[in-house]
Amino acid sequence: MKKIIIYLILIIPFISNSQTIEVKYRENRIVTPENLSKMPEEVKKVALKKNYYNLTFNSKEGTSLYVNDSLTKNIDSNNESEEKNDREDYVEIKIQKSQVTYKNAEKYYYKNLKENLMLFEFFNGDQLFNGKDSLQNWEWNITDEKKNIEGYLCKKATSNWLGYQFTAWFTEDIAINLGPEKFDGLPGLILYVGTPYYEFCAERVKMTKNKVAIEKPAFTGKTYTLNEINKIMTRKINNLKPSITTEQDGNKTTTKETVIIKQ
Amino acid sequence: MSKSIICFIFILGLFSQIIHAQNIKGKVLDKIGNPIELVNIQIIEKNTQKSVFFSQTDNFGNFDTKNKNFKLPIILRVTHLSFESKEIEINANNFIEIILENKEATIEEIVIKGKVFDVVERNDTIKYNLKKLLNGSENNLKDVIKKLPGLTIDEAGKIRYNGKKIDHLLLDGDDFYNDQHQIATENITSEMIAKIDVLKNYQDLSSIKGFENKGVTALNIGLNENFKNKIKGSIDAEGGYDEKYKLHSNIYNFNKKVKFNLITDANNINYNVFTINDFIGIRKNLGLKVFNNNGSNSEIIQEEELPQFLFSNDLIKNKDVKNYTFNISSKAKSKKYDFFSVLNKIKQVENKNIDQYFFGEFSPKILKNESNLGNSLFNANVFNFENKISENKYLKLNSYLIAGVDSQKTNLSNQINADILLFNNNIENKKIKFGINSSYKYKISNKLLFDAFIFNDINFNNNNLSINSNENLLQFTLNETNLNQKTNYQSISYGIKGKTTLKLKNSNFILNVKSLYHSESLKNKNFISQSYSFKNNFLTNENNISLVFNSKIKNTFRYSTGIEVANLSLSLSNRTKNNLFYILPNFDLSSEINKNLKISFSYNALKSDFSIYNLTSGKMINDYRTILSNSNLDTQKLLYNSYQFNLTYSKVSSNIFSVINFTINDLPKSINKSFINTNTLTTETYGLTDLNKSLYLILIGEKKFTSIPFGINIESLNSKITQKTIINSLENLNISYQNKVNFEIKSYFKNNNFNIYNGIEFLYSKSINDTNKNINKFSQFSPFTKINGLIVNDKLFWQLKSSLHHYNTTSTTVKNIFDFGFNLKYNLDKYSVFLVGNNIFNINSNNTKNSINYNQVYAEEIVMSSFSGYINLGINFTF
Repeated sequence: MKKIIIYLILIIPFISNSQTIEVKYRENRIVTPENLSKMPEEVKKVALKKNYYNLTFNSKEGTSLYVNDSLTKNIDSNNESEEKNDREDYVEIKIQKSQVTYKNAEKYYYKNLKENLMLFEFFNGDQLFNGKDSLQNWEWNITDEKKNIEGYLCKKATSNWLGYQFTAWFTEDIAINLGPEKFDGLPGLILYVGTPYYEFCAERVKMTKNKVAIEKPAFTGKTYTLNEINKIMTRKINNLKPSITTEQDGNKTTTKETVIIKQ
Repeated sequence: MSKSIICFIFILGLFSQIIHAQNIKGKVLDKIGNPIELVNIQIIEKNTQKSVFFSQTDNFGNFDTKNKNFKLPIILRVTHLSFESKEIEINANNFIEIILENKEATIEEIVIKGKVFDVVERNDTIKYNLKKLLNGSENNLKDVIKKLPGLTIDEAGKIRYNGKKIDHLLLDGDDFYNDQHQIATENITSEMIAKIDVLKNYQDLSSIKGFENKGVTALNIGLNENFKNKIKGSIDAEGGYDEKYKLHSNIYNFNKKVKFNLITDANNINYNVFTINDFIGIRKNLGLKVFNNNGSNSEIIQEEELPQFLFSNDLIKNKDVKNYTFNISSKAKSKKYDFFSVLNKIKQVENKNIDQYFFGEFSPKILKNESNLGNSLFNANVFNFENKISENKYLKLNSYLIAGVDSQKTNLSNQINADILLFNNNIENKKIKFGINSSYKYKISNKLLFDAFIFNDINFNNNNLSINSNENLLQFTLNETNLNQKTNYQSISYGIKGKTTLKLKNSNFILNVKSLYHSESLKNKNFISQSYSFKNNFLTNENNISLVFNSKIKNTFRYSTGIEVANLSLSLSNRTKNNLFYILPNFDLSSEINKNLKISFSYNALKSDFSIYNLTSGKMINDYRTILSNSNLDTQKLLYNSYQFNLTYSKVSSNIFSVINFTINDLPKSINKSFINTNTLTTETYGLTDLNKSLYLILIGEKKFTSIPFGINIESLNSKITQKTIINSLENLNISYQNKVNFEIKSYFKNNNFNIYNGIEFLYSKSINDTNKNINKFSQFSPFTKINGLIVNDKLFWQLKSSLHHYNTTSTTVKNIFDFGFNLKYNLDKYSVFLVGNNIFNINSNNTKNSINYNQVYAEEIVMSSFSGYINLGINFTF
């Protein structure tokens, strides 16, 4: 009898320690109607697109994976439209081509809280980055501001990470140090985090006792830290300038216009 | 001095407490002393309630504030997902040991925002969130579909989306089961289903880029990986009191290239694998019927084609069914073969007590007692081959062979006043039908598509009628008690049609040309007199051209207008040739008022066709009291008008689906029978009538709530038919109404594996023979409840269902029927054991149900035997 009790006591913390949390996050841009109206039709579609990600956390291992769901895919589309105008003495054919590449949708972030490790892969611009970093030092400022997000009491926290202003709402009701993408460092699950231009919102939280194995991603080649990627991108964006170029090919004239939409 | 030193040290100490970096260390343990890792450690200044530090414990449960600046006293908040939280007030830098208690309850699933939809619309696809809509207590596809908003299964077993029958049933994206929805809904188990989508503009192999099929719907069932690429199946055997039994087997292999499914079944519990509607469906989708397809959904089945008993559902005394159904399809890149074969055998007994009134001044009420023994054997084989030859070319071949033998032996007694007449009325029908047809599509350019269809179809139909009676058959002027009649029908048809579609920017021109040859012959023979022996040939030659223009304005408004010109050359063996010339206009307007609301209105002028049965030169006996007299009709131009109004409102994100459909068919001149009634004989003659109007109103609405776990659906079908008939040389006006209302409320409980369905079925029909002031009414009112769920670790499925049928008719009475059934099924790994009961309070006695039957010449109120209940014990083996 005694044996059984000891056995039970031993097994209880083991069972209850092992929990899996699955969170579905939505990511989308925040676009003002004014900015939206300035965008070309194809860009508008991308700007309004909502992407979905699954965050899985294995509490026993202290590992998590944030990855796009099966329906969230990178966009690489070509569009061509033809407009024909009959004039009195000639026919005018206008061909409008648009190419939209949006590769930011597919990405993943693997974290190991015990080892203070973060591995990730994402596109920025046209470059695929493989990254290895420690968990970020967010220096969150937890405020007194509180709000209820669908039954969860959430607290507001702000951070000035790498010079960007982030606002997060986290709940201590789910006491895990986790959030979407690279975000963490708060004493509860981050249900919302965003800048004035982009947001991450949790839409569903599921807790199960089923064990989910989270595999550590393996990649070879050069790895970057988030800080390094940030520096590369800042340099690229600063070098980008609006331009108009015109090419002549036989009797066909192609004009390319590069417009930079800054948010 | 010492005082001042003490004072200084004290001040220093105080000062250090205020401004110095603090180093609070500690360890977090569980109740039995094991360290807990990844515990959230939060430090809140007591005075300001401000959170100033956050960290987590390491692998050994240790934490450390690492010389962080803050003011004492502080609150140490310790939290972890699996342990109860703790708050400790700390006034000094000490090593703290914290012991946490295990959390008792954990939360399972929380939806943060009501944004996880039950149903999602993406472009032309409706996607169902099965995880959210189902709770595991569903057994097969039928149970699943009933839970999905917008989808229903009608009485004929067909799957409908928003009131309209789906055009294709797909298994993992491939067409399978053709039109036999019931086979799919009963044999695909819920665990096989991974996803369900409705495609509103389905493109199959026949779709040619730029000329895509529009408005063709498909239901796609995605299969779970475990049920693909290997031979799987199940065997069921059940039996019970009074020799009731059912044996059912289902073997299948669904893989990407080849899919097959063989189902065999034998039972006497009134379970039909293949219904009469499936049989009609097969015939409808073949040969001549496809050729003549004018988009109308109704199908008129000629009386002589099928014996009546096949249509009764549970109004029978007993029934034996044996069936095998085989489907196979093979797909390789651009080619697809499929073959379907069914063999169905039915033996059935029916009993009826009938009060029959023939309209007419001198016709007395007839008390009729009737028992029918029906035997049916039919076999259908259909083969299809499709080939997408290239991006621009498509070819399809279809061939079929259908054969059947049906016999119906009727014993009946007819009581008229005090006289009782007894009859044996036996019909034996043998038929065979075969044909081959082919369609071809060719895209000539981006703007031009050519479409061709060629077919032939051959029918043989032999009918033997034998009648005997206890008295001489004087009604047929025969001084004998026996009578035999043989009728042979044959038809051969072939035709070709071509369609050219010219695509402009926002519109299309469609030119159709078709040519049809249709030859029918009818031979009748009995020994009563020469007037019953005849042989007639009827030949139809139709040439037809039609032009349709359709266009859209601003994506929200579409219109289509067309005109059809037809020339028919008709010749009957013993009469002169007749040429008929038709001009048939049609138009269709539809508007998408907003994303959710669509309305449409259409008008079609149509022609009515003559059949050889309308034009016989001699007489035929239909049954013991009916003669079809030789026809006085001449082929002539018969036109009618059909108007249709449709409104659909569907808001997928709110789970609302609704349809209103209003149809009027107005036949200013139509082929109709006129009747002469005596006590013992009705003589029918084909003639023309100038009033035949029908009106149909269908309302369908479904809503699943999101704030409460319930859904409702309501379905109402209403019709009014007004028809003028000549009875005993007098004009009679018949008006009949039929109303049917179904209302159901169902639950969508998730966690307790339990669900409830409640509803009411209401049926009302009334027929008025206005001339004789004869009114017959019938109403049926049936409330029902069904509850089911899973218990014992989801291993035991249970279901209780009950319904009460209450009847009202003009003159006969029948007691209420309380129908109670249950189902208990215990699932082991590969086996399951089940106990199933149906209508268990009526196992011994033969139940009766009431019905009303009327046509232009008589009305009858019927008390029919209805199927008795049973309790069966069974076993199921799945492999």
